[in-house]
Amino acid sequence: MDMNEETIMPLNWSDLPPHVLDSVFKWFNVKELKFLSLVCRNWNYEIGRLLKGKVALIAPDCLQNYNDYTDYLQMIRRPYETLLVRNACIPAKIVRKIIKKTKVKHVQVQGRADNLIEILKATANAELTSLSVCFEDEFKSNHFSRMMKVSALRVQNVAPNFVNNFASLRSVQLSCRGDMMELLSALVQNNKSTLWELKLTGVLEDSLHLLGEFENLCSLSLMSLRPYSFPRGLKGNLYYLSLQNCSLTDEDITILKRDFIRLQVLELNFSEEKNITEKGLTELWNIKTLLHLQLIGFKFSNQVWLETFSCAANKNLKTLSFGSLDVDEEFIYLCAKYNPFLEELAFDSYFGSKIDLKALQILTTNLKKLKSLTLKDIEISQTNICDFKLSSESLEHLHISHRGLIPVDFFRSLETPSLKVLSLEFWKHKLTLEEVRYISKNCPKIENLKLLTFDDIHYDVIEALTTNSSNLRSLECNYLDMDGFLVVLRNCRFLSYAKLDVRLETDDINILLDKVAFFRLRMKKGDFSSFKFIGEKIEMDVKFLCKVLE
Amino acid sequence: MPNIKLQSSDGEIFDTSLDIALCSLTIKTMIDDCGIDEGEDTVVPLPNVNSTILRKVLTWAQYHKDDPQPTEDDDSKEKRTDDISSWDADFLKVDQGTLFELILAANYLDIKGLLDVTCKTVANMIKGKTPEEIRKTFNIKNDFTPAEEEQVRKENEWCEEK
Repeated sequence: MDMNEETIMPLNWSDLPPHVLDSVFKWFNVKELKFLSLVCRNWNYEIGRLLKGKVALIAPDCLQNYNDYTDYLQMIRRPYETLLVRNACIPAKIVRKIIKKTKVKHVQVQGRADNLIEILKATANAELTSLSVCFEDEFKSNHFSRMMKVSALRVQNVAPNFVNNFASLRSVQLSCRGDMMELLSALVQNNKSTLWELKLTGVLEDSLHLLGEFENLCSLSLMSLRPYSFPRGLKGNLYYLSLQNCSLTDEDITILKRDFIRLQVLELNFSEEKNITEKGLTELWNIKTLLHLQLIGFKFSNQVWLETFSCAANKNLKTLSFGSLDVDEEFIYLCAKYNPFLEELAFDSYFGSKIDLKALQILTTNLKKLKSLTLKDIEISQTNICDFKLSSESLEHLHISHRGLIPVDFFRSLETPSLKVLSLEFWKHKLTLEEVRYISKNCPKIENLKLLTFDDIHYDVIEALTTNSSNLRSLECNYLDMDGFLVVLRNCRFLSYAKLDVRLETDDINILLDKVAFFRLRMKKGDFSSFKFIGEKIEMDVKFLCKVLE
Repeated sequence: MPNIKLQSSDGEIFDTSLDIALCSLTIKTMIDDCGIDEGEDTVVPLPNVNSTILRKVLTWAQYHKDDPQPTEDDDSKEKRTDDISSWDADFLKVDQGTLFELILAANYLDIKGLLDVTCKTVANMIKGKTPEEIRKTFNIKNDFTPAEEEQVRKENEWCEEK
C-alpha cells in the first residue's frame, strides 16, 4: 500500500471523492439532480458526469441567429448522448457543431423533408449509434443519397429508397405510407444478417414473406390497419412478437409454440373479428416460455377461460394484460385462481363492465406476488360482505379508472403498506377529508398520487394529503380552487412535480402573481391557460380554468 | 475466529476479531496481498482513520458482520432513502463532522454497506432543500460566479429526461 496515496483528506462536503459523491447522488432522480447541480462547481461537474446518457439536449428553436447559437454552444458544458432537434429550420451548420462538440450518440430530428435533408447531411459523417427521423411531409429521394453510419434507425413517413442510405442496421422502426414491399426489399438487401429488431407500421400483406430473409431477427412488431396473415418462414430466434390486426389462426399458434422456443413476450391485438378458437387459446396457454402476455380483443365465455386455465397453467408467466373485453367477477376469480404467480395484471375493459369490491379482495389475497394492478373502465361497486379488506404486502402500483363512484369502503379497507403509486380516476366522486386520511394512513409509502374526479377537491383535502403523506413526490389532480393551489405552493418543499387544474375567480389573478413570486417560482406561460412554474426544486404544470384567461 | 491488530492514524491498536475486520475489503486485500498469517502478531496500519472513527466503524461492523453481501446497484430498482434500520439510524445520530469522517473511512476501508447507509443519511439531509439551504447545511461555498450559476440553470432548461 502506498502510504502517500490519498493521504490528503478533503476538507469539506463539496470536495468528496467522485465515488463517494456517486453514492450520495444515486438516491436522487434526474429532476432532483438538476437542482443539486446548482450547489457548487464540483457537484455540478460530478452530476453532469452522472447524468450522461440520462438526459437529452434540446437544440433550442427559440434562438434565431448564428450569434445566439454561438452563445448556446459555449453554454453546453456537460457530456450529452442524445440531441433533440425539434425544429428543422435550425441551420445544419449549427447541428453539425453541436454534434461535434457534445459527441452525442443519438440524434432525433423532426421537420419538413427539405429542411431535414440538410440536417441529415450534417449527421452523415458523425459516429452516431441511432438516428430517429420524422418527416412531416413527403421525402423525395433524389435530394439525398449518402451512406449513413448508424446501427439503429427510426423513421416516420418514410419513402422506400430512403432506406438505401443505410447498411448494417441492427434495429429498425419504420412507418410507411407507400409500398412496403419495396421498402422491405431495400432493407433486406443491406441488412440481412445484422437486423435483430424490426417494427413495421403500414400496409403489410404481400410483403411479409420477405421477413424470413432476416437471419437473426429476435424482435418483431407488426401493425396495420388492414388485416394480414401471419408471416410464415420466420427464423426461430424470436423472443418478442407483437401483432396488431393479424388474422391469426389456431394453426399459427401451434407454429408459434413449436418453432419459437425462445418466445418470451407475446402481444396479440385484434380490433376486428378473430379466427382463433378455444383450441388455439389452450395452445397459447401451453407456450411455457412466455413471461409476458398481452391479449386484446380475446372475447371468450368464462366457461372457455375456465377450461383453458385449468388444463394449462403457466407458472413462468409474470405479466398478463387483457384489453377490450367484458370483465365480471367470475372472470376475475378465474384469473386469480389459476394464475397465482402473476406480478402484473391489467384489465382494460369497456365502459359497462362491473365488478364488486369482493372481486378486488380475491385478486389481492390470491396473488401474493402481485406488484401492479390496473383496472380501466371497470365500475367497482360496493360489496355487502363485512370485514372487507383490500390487503396486499406486495402491491406497489394500483391504477383504477371508471366513470362511477368510489365505493365507500374502498379507502378505509386499503391495507397496502408497499403501495407507491396510486392513480384513481372516479369521475363521479367527491373526495372527502376522511378518505385522504385513509390514503396517508394505509399507504405510508405513497410517492406518486393521481386523483381525477368530477367534483372540486377541497383545499383541506389537499392540505391533509401534502402534509400527512411525507413521501409524496408527485401529485396530479383536477379542480382545485385557489386555496388548494396555494396549499400546494406552500407544501412544494415535499413535492418535485405537480400537475393541477385550478379554478380561478377572475380577480384572483393578481393574488396569484404575488404568491407565485413569493414562493420563488418562475412562471413560463404555455398555450392558452396552461402555465409552467419552475422553482428551485419543483416543476408544476398548471391549467387555470377561468373566463378572463380564455 | 482468530484476532487481528489494527492501528489507527493516532497510533491506537485495536485487537479485533478477524471476521469483523474482513468487512473491510481494503483490509481483506492487505491481508491477502501481504500474506499476513493468522495468529502472527502483525499490525495492519490504517493511516487514514483515527481511533474515534475506527472504534465507530468496528462497532458498526460488529453489528452487521452477519449481513448478506450487499448486491450490486440495480438501476431499475426503486431508490428509497427512508428504509434505514433503527439501529443504523441511532448509530448515525452523530454530528456532521463525524458523519463526514465515517463516510471517508467507509470509502477508504471499502465497506459498501456502511458507505451506503451513511450516504443515504446525507441524501436524507439534502432531500427537500433548496441549493442555498444545502450550502448552509453543509457549509459549502457557492463557488459559481453569478454568470456561471445562470449558465447552469439555463443548461438545465435545455435538457430533459429521456
